[in-house]
Amino acid sequence: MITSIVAIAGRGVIRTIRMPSVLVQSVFFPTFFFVIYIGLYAGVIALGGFGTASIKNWYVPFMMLQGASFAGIGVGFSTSLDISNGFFDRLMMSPVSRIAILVGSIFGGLLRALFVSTVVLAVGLIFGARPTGGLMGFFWLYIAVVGMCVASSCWALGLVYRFKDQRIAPLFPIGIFVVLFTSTAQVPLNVSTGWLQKIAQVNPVTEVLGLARQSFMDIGVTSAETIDGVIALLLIVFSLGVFAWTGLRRYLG
Amino acid sequence: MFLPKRLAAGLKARKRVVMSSAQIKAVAARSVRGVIRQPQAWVPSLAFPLFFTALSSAAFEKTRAIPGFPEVSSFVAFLLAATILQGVMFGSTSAGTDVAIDIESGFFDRFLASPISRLALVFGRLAGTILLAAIQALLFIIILMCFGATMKGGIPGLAVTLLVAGLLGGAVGAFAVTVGLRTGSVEAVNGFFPIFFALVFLSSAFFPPQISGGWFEVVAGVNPLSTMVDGMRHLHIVGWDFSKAASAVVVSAVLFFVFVGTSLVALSLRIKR
Repeated sequence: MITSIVAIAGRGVIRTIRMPSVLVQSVFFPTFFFVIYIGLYAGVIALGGFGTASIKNWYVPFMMLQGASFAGIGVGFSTSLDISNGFFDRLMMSPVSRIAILVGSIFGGLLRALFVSTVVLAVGLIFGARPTGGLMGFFWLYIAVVGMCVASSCWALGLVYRFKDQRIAPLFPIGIFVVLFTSTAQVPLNVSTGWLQKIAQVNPVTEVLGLARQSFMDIGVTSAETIDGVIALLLIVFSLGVFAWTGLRRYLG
Repeated sequence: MFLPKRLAAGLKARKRVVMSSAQIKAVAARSVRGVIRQPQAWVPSLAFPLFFTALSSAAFEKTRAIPGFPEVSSFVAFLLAATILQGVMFGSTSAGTDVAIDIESGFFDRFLASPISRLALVFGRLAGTILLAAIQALLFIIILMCFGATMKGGIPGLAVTLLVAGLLGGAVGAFAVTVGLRTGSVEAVNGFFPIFFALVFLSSAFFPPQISGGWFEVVAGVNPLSTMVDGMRHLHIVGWDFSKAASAVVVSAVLFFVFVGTSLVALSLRIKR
């Protein structure tokens, strides 16, 4: 099974390398928005409650998670292409484990997510973001990156397996965009108001962002923030993993 | 003998103008019908800016307390101009994608083979786009006024806002038509959309640049979209001001005429091929 996972993941990586435009796009958007956001909302930090005096520190982890999430949905795009050109059906007829197909696809996207988020981190550091959480901070930051990539891959795959149609593709980023932005992506809970504050309080992505942001917050890594973040991340990955797996089972009829 | 000749020439020219305007109307009607029949073409350009406005107003409502923030009743009121700008830019690229689809499917060549005015091919599309942009702006104003947006400039302020939205829609549409005519590719037209998106973000549309400070204030200061947004915003949150209204109209009109020019050049190059 491991050989199959490696082969399927390797195919995803080769495909990414052969389509540099996709990789450039994946890197460009989170990097571009990071630069825009730190300029546009630089004055917002004056409201306080961000846990850091630097708007760059506030936005780097979010943009890394955003980049990882959008890299994850790339798996959905390539699988929908495989379904439309018949490759996926041929793969299904081969004696390859179904779990290997799912896990291999996700692993292919994971490498892209790690690349994208590392570029965003590098750009953040160049623009003046300063990490405060040490190695443990980076560890949890990358755990959040991996988790969000797996979750978004599962979201996209779950949809593709169910609808078997490329026309479902616009829903991938919309779902991710809505979930990410209705959390503490832009401002902390004490700054947001109304409906956004209420949704962000129950949105598990808020906790995941808390986990990721520890690496750049003044307070550093804390066990309470870590535990809440890990639980939220596991919850998201598990529920979307079940969504993808049941979708694959439904695809097989 | 001289007079009837001049009369005949005049009548011929008049007939040509009448025919041409009829053709522009027909192409514009086709363009509008095409958009209405494809909800996937206009629903995102309505839904996305509204969602973004709802999100930003809930996230940044408290920033109104920061010294230097313009006097405004709510963040929604501050964002009305940005919402219009974003929606119009989002929706108007369809003029270019439609041209590219017509080229890809061969329909454009059949258009050229017919005895239709060449100008109608561009102006017809743009007329449809301008109309849709103005309607879109009116919808945004009505919806956001239910959530706290204001139109302190009254009917003249509303009229200028719709005019600016129409001209901007025409400008973006003409740019998209230029790309569509030059490349004949839907992907290429869509590929240019992020440029407009970036320009909106690099203007005073979403946040006062004087509060942002730094490089952003400088970039937003030289971005012509900021002049347009600030002019419209003044009419929305302060009241009627001729110079502000004129600056918004002039910037959008300049953009409109520049890109209409590029689209006509692209059309003549496409015909020569």
